[in-house]
Amino acid sequence: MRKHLLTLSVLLCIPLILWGQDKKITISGTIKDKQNGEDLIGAEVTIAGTRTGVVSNAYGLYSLSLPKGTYQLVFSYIGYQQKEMQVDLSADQRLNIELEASTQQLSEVVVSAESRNINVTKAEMSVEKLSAKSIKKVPALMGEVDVIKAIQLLPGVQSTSEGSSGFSVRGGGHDQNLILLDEATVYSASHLMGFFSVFNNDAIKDVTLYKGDIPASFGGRLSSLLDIRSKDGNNQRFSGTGGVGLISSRLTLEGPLGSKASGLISGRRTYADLFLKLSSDDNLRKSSLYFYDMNAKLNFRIDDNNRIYLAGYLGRDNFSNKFAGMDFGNKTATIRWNHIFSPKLFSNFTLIGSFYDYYLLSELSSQLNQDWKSKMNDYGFKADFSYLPNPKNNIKFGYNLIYHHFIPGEGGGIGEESIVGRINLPKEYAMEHAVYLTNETTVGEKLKLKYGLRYTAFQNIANGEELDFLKDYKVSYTKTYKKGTVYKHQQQLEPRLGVTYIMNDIHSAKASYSRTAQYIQLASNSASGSPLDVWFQASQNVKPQLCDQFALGYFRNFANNEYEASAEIYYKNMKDVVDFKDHAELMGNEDLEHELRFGKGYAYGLELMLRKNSGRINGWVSYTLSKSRRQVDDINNGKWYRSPYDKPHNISVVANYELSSKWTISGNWVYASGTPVTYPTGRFQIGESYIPIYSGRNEYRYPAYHRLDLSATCQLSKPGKRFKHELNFSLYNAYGRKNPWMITFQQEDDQPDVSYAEIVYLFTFIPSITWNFTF
Amino acid sequence: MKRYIVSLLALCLFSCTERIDINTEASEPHLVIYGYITSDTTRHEIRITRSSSYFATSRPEGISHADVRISSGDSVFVLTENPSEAGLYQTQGHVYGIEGESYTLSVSLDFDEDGAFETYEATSFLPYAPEVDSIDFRDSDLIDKFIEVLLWGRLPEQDENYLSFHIYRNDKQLTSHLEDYFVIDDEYLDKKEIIGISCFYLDQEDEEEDDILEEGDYITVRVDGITKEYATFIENAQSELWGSDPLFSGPPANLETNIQCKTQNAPADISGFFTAFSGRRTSRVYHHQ
Repeated sequence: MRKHLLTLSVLLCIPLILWGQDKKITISGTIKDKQNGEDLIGAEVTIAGTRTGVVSNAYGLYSLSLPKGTYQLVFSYIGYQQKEMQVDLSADQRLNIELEASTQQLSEVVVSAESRNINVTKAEMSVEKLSAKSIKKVPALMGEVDVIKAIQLLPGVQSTSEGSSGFSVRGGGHDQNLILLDEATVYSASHLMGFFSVFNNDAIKDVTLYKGDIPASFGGRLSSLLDIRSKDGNNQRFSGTGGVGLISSRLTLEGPLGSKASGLISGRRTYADLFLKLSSDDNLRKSSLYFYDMNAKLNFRIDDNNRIYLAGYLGRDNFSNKFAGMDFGNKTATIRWNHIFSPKLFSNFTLIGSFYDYYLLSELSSQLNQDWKSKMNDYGFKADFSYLPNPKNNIKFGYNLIYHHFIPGEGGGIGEESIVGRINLPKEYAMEHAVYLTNETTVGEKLKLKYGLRYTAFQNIANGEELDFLKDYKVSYTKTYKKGTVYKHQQQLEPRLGVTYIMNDIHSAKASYSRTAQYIQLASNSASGSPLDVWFQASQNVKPQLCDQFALGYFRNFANNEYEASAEIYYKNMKDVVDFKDHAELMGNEDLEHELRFGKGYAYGLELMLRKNSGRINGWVSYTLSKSRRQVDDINNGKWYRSPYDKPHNISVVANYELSSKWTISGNWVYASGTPVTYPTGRFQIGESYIPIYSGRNEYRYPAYHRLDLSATCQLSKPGKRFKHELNFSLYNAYGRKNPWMITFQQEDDQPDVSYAEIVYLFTFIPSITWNFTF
Repeated sequence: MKRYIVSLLALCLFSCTERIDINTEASEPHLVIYGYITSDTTRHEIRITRSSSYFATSRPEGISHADVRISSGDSVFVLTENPSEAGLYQTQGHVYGIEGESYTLSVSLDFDEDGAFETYEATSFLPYAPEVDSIDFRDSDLIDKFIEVLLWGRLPEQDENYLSFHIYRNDKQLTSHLEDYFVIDDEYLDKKEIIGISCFYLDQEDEEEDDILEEGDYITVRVDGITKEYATFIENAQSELWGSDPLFSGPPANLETNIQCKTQNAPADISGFFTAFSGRRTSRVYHHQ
């Protein structure tokens, strides 16, 4: 390991040595939105007429070191008017920039060529970015604007089932996506059994999905990183955003707190339960059904070199009727200190808490009443550094630590009369460490290289209870370790490489390789997962899952960068893939690891994307051709089978049209090959029931999935007014396609020897209306 | 607990159903052996059939001319084929199983009709039965228009008991479908006394009217002590019959059988199960309170 790090350090240093011949002057600062003071992530700073430049980091900070002289600098960001400034660099200096959002006038195509080709020139691929503004335009189920539903319309991303917030990226599992909200892991990103995501769009600033080429500073999941950053809070004036919809209402308030701080608080709650109380049915009246979530953020600028951010999220779902109840939710907390050591060295120190729990209750009778709860607690620390020695190199390094404390389940009978005992599944403790070092360098005018290494280690900590050591899925021996001792240490080297060859301002070719390791997995064998799924850790019996991903891409812009086109191909090779034996019992199982089976998998595909970012008509069209297979011990007789997320063809069309200054219409159409499924091909009889005999695993497919959603937004306020409000009308599944949620097989009541198939579908023609406002 | 979760799910999902035509290629026929011996003195039955395609419209074909025996220690019970139903093999009427004993089923037949017989075997322990003292009825506080059937009794002293509950109305079994079996295990039960547990909820607005109790109905509850393996078989069969939903269910999978082919190169896959169990009954005449 030491040798690897040494080699990498030497490699990293070569371009620095080559560059570092002359004394450089550094200009640095922040780039913000002029209206609300939000940091702009990924804004470009370039020297006019050249490709030399840098991009602002996740906190809007930039740093550019140049030889002494006078330069014309261009500051640009998609959707904002670019700013050009002449600067005389004779000594290090600080320059904070505010960019103004481009006004949305009809027929206006804004933003210059230099700022719009970042998709071509940036040394990254397999990345999709969406702003809160563009997410809001996508027609939404029941009018609930949803980040994850918008993500599902991107190439290479599939919904795991009808209406679900679960998603699969490039054939990976729904638990192989690292979902971060302000750097805190969100373990269960859905409300209402998966139909809505936990993210309130009004509180979100920026969403980035890495489908591959994941930066070395992140890891822990095999397939993707969904990095969601919440708004910092308007530091210019007090403002608000809100809405009243059919199922929920929401309100976000933000504003400056003194001269150095700003904050945001945002909340959302559904009110279906209020209508239940009006029901004449006693059972319904006593039922409860709601979710809520809250986001809060505070950022405090101590001085030009120090900022503190506090961010928190709290969300909860509650369902109950007379005899059962369920309650679950996430909590996250982030405290971040952003410190600028020098104009060339930025740092971020972050403390993170991430918590998920659920509680179940059944109240059938005093003897059988039971409850059950499960908790996951993560405590993390991150130290991240960016060192920009010159415009040609951007070095990042850091250390991450997560302390996992999982309580897989505890519960049982309630009360003295109960005949059901109580059980506590053994608690799990582990430390997940990562150190990384990466550099992005420019070689000449056309070549950009990105190379880095992430070293990860996972340490299981004993809980003092007896442990099973399995061989061939059976107990080989048992051993007890003293509580608190590290009894298993597993580690991985995860190299990340990327090459970008810029042919000219509108063409580039890119290639990347990344290795990712996943040390914690979801104990779920269902297609979408549920809030009751628990996570389990790599251990003496479970190796981390590994994925090597190779990707090639071609990026081309047209018509003065108004159109962006891309084609990417990828190949993923997965090792130590986790699946579960047939009829595995995953909930409340003390011997969960006995239910696991291990194998391998691969996925490959082609993703095509054509996007139009501006103008009266904007949106994108994407097509994905893909294949994903697995081979796992004891499953499908050891033969390869389709992964549950194998959908060869996937098309998404997303379009927005600004009809007039008052009306905007939007629509999206999705098509996907049917979900792989195992169908019965034979049957035998027991008593009066026919038991199915099945085909090979996932040998068949559901009917193809397709759906059209439409929406229209009417501006109710006059231009120039501070209070703006609008009505949004949406129609989900406009042509009423009965897409299968599941297919069941039944026997005829009057002819029990005759079986038939029945499709269960959830949504047809869901209209909704939402009133939105800002001030 | 899973059933309660599904009932909660129904609160937030408004789903619709529609019949759909699905064509699946028929799998190769399996040999199916299913049956049991119980502690009752009766004709115990083993049914041997050939599986059919899933969308077949007739009962499976019985396999005749098999040699079928159930043995325990020195006792061997020979089962003879019922002349009026091919594939149904029965013991004599005086046969009964003894709690605490193990029973082995041996079947010899020529499934692929190549002139050579293959031998199949399965073994099951016959667990001790619970004691059932009495039942009673009450209108459910929990679910409107349902009557709860309450049971009193006690479980055997052994560490783990697996129970299967059945209910009869005027000697007609209301739990004739595998989906209706109510199976519990006492792995997590810490008391052996059963004091008025609600074991059945009868829907008094049942469309098929089977569950609707009338004054004077003779209600019997049967509780079987079953093996862990058979409890698992029933639970897995039930999950296959209920279907797989995307939230809580794993992928569909064939049921594991305990029947093994003792001859090399088995001509077909095997399905079914052989088990032994002990049952106890208690009855009461229903009077509306």
